Amino acid sequence: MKNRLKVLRAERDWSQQDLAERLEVSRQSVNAIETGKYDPSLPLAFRIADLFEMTIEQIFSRD
Amino acid sequence: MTNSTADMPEAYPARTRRLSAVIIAFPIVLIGGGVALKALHLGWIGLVGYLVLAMIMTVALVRAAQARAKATGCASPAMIRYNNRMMVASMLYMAILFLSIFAFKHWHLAGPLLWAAAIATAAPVLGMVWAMARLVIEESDEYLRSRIVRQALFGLGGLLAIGTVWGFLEQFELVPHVPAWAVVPVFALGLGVSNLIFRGDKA
Repeated sequence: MKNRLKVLRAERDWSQQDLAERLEVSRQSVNAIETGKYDPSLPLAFRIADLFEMTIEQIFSRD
Repeated sequence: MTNSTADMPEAYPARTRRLSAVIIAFPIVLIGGGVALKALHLGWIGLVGYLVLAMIMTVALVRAAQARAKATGCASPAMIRYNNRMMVASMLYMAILFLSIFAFKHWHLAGPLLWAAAIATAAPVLGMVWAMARLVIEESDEYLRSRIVRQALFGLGGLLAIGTVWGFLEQFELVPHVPAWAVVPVFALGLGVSNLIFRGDKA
C-alpha cells in the first residue's frame, strides 16, 4: 500500500517522533508505515486520518 | 515537541548491530563455556567463573536491548518491563542452577528433594517464557508487536527444525546427546538471527 504520510508530515514540519507522539505509537512504527514496510491496522489508519483531518483514502492508496 | 526533521537517529544502526551481536553471542558463549567447563575439568572454580561470565552476558544483553530501544524510539513501557523481568529471571536462574548442582553433587539429594531442585532450576526459565508472553500481550504498539511475534515464530520454527534434525542424527548415533534444556538458548539464537534477517523486510 502507498501512502502520503511523509508528505503530510513534512507539510506540517513534524518529525517522525512528533507524529509518533501525536499518534501514541513508536517512532519506529511511523518510519515503517512511511517506508511501506508495514501496513497499519484499520484502527490506526483511522487515527492517522483523524489527525490529518482527511479520509483514509486520501492518505492511503493501492500499490 | 522537537523540531528535528531527522527520520532515523544516528545511533540506530550501531545500536542494532550491537544488540544483534550480543543476542547471537549470548547462547554461543554460554554453550561454549559449558562445553569448555566439562572438557577442561575446571571444577567448582570453573563453574563459578562460568556463572560470572553468564551474568556479564546477561547484563550486556539487557543494556544492548535498552540502548537500541532508546535509539530507535521504541523503548515502550512493555519492553522495559520485559527487560526487567528477563534480567530478574536470568539472575535467579544462574543462582538456583549453581545451588542445585552444588546440592546434587555434595548433599546427595534424592527423592522429593531432588525433584524439587530440578523443578526449581527450571522455574526461572519458565519465568522467561512467561515474560515473552507478557511482552506480546502488553505491547500496545501494533508494529512492534508484529515484529516480536514474527521473531518469536522464526525462533520457534528454527528450534523445531534443528531439534527434529538433531533428534534423528542422535537416534542414528551420528551426533552426541544434547540435553532438553538447550531449547531455550537455541530459541534465543533464532531470535537473534531473525532480527538480522527481517530487519528491513515488509512486516
